Amino acid sequence: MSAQSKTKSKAKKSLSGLSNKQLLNAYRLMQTARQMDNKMLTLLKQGKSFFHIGTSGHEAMQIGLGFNMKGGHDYFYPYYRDLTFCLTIGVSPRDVLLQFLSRKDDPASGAHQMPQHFGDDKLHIVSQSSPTGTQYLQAVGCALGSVKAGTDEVVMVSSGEGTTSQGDFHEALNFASREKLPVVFLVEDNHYAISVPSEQQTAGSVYEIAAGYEHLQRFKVDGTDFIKSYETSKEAVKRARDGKGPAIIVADLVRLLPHSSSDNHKKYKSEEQLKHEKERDPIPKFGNLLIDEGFTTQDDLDEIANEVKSEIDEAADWALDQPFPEKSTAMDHLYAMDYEWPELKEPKSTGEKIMMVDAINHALHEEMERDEKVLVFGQDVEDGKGGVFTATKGLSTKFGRERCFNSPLAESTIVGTAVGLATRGFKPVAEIQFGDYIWTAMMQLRNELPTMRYRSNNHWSAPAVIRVPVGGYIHGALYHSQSIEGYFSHLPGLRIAFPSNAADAKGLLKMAIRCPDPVMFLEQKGMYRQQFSGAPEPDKDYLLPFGKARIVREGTDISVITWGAMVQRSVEAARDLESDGISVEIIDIRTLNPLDTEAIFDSVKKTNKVLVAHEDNLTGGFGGEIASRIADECFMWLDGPVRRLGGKDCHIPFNWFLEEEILPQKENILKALRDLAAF
Amino acid sequence: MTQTEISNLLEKVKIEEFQSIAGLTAEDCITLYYYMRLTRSFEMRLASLYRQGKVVGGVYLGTGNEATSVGATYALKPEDILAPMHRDTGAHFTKGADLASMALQLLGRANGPTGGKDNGSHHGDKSINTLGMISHLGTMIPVAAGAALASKIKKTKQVAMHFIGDGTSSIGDFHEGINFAAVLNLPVVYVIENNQYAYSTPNSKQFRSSWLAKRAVGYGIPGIVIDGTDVFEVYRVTKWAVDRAREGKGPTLIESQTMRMRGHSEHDAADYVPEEVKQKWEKKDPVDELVERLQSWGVLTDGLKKQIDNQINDEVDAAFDTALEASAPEGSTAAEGVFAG
Repeated sequence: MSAQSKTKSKAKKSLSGLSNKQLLNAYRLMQTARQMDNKMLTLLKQGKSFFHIGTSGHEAMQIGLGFNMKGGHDYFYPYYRDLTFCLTIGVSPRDVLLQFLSRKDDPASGAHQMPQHFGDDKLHIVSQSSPTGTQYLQAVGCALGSVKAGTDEVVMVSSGEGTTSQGDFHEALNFASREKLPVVFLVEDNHYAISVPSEQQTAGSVYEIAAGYEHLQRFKVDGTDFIKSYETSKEAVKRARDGKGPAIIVADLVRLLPHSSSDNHKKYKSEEQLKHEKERDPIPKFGNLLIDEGFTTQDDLDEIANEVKSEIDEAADWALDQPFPEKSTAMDHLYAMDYEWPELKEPKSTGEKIMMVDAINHALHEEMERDEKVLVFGQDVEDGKGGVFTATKGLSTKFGRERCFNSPLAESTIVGTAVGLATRGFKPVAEIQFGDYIWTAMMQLRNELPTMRYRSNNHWSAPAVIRVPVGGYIHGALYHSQSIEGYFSHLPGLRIAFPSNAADAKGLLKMAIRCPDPVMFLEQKGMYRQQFSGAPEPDKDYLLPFGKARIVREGTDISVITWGAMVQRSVEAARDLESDGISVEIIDIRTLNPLDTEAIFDSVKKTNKVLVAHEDNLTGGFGGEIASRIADECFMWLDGPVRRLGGKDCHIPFNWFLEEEILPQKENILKALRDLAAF
Repeated sequence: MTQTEISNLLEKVKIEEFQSIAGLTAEDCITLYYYMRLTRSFEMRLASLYRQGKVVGGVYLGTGNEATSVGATYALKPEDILAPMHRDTGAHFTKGADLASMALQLLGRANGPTGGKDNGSHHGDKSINTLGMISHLGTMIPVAAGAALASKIKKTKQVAMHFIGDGTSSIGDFHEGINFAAVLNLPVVYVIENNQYAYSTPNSKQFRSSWLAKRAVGYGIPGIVIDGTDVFEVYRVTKWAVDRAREGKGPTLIESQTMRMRGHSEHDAADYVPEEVKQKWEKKDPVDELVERLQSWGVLTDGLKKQIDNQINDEVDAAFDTALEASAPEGSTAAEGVFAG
């Protein structure tokens, strides 16, 4: 470091506890970040990449915070403007450029994600997605992980001020403050969310909004002032590390570049405003301070800048020489690749007949007993209630409220914190009280949970289990009856189980908890205590692998492919048809992802006629997918059209006569089977 | 009972000493008693029908919440917009909902407001400007802000009032909706009915602040904590907030400290609520408290009380008789109304 060795001996020893070396290092980091922005914009113009989003103007604050945290020890959820922060805690320009140029060895995502979506497992930078706002709750889950693991790791999460209008921001502040978690929230307020100014975004200021949360320490700082940013961060991080609770830093700073390479800020910022923002540029501000305080000279600073330039040019040349990913790897790491489902085995022993809800409860007890990393949480899961359907009964009493705990009434919180806990090696088995209420968690479920492994190229994963009571036939009307599997089966990266009896429920849930991929575990709540779904209880070692359908009933004339509540109705219809001499085979698919197409095709090839039946409404239901695959693969074996039966395309009404009309009944199946038989 | 009927009743009693409380006349006081008692009686009848197996689905009562539900709604004008929650039978009635219509809804009958399509309190009434809620809590917070935005754009001076539960305060929509209402300075009053429990989850497992009203400070709007079992305090504060909203001064967040004297629903024994808490609640019954006060002021004589109570019993009987006799919807109509007909 020639620049530092040349520093004049008359220089002061330190500033705010930072040594001369550290101060010059901060300056070097600022230069690196700024010149990286410039270099990437040049490469973009040369057509070497397709997107850039800048850190320029945010450097001082990010280094100030980064200096107070430890890469590889603490955990980080930096947003897309946090290049400087990432460089500060140990990411190299080469790594950043590999992602920018979408090269195979990009350590953040293996060329799966856009540039500036940071991630580094060794440094504990958790892979970042694009829908900003989702990171808060994951950071909270991650911090919950620190508390549960008894460590002093602090979690950093950041965003711009625009993102604070998202509901997830509030949910995260509330939960972090309820649990006094070691999280530092950094809001980088550059006064513009793309083109929307902060007065159209926030009532008052973000600093004021954060006032209503006890134990949340608030800080306001000029984020263009490195020393102040450093001092503020020091206090916030120390407080979190000492277990005194979360902190929020609202940093007032400037965005010197347009929102991204796709934006032109001259359309909504005046010349005068741009000039004013430039005057607040943190780099000359800090450089002048170092010169004024006698730490360095302008010549030395210029030399640092020159050295940084050559380093970055060299890194870019190197990165440009690195290979692109092979096309054949495009689907890699969507699921855990080194995982094989165990063989399907019959249970070693079976106990007394139990109901489905009790089977689920027993599976949870056994898995919590087996693995202390298993955590159960959701609304009302603690005893005395033990879950509104009693599925979690006894867990908090037996394993303590550290491992089975109530969440606030917020589904995004439940799924978001599950993602955060899962990335820390815990096994969250979270409950959403009703499928009908899952939609507020949709962003976490669509964009976060199933994408973590793929978007980080296997460096991170989020194998949480989300249990959801679903379905109707209980007079629960529009909001306690919904079937949701059609929506979720569309998502790559998410395993889906949907048991139809107590034994399957137990085996599948225990398997789900041991699965390295995220699982949505759907429980038809009308079947929880229904006699038909009761079964002798399998032993505690019984695991039912995903992707193995069950032949519920053998037959020769027509196959019914079904799952969940329609299994019982299909069996009853098949019994009725025996007297007509029609022999019906019933296949319960048990899991939608993976789907046992082999069992389905084998059955269709045997009977030559098929009905696909489900409770969910017909249009866009998962039955459409199954029917289509049968049509593709079994056309030559078919003696009739592939028929589908589902609920009517309508909301589910309360009145029991109306409900009966909308949801498919045994009579509908009978009619469909008779029609097919006659075809 | 209509306002005229109540006035007629009052003419028969002499109230000399009583001046006014919270800007309310003796007539207002009797009206408040009527709505609170009506709410209690109607709900108790519903609970009893539930136990007889005549109500399908869940039954969610507002016992303990009557003073908040009735008192806050009493501050609204007929043209104002009300978005109640599932424990706000009192608000529906005070806004002018028809008893029989409520009973038809609760029993899922064909001629109820949703024609048997949705259950419980998930219904509104356009004619009295009441918006129907859906089951998932929090979703109506931005909706109420939207209704208030419409009044602002149309310059109608209508105020929107929305009830929120303590659990609801945890959901992201709470932040988004209130921030939006504050940014646009909308004429809306949010009343948090903090009944201490969200199903089985107590306040301490929901949030860390001592008062939810503190959240208001962050949005630059007033936040006020009130005793939600005192109907006069509820009325006084909500009236102030409603007037303020009507004058264009923006939203208010009121946290009404109330209590849930029964389970989350009638199928919930609420074993998780400590016995001493239940006993404390029993002693603070808002309807009993109001009766005691009105009697001590000489406003509600035994005779008048008896007359009103009898009338309420008749009205409740008539409403449920109508509903029990009403027919269920035809199955063939089940899929009607998904889109405009």
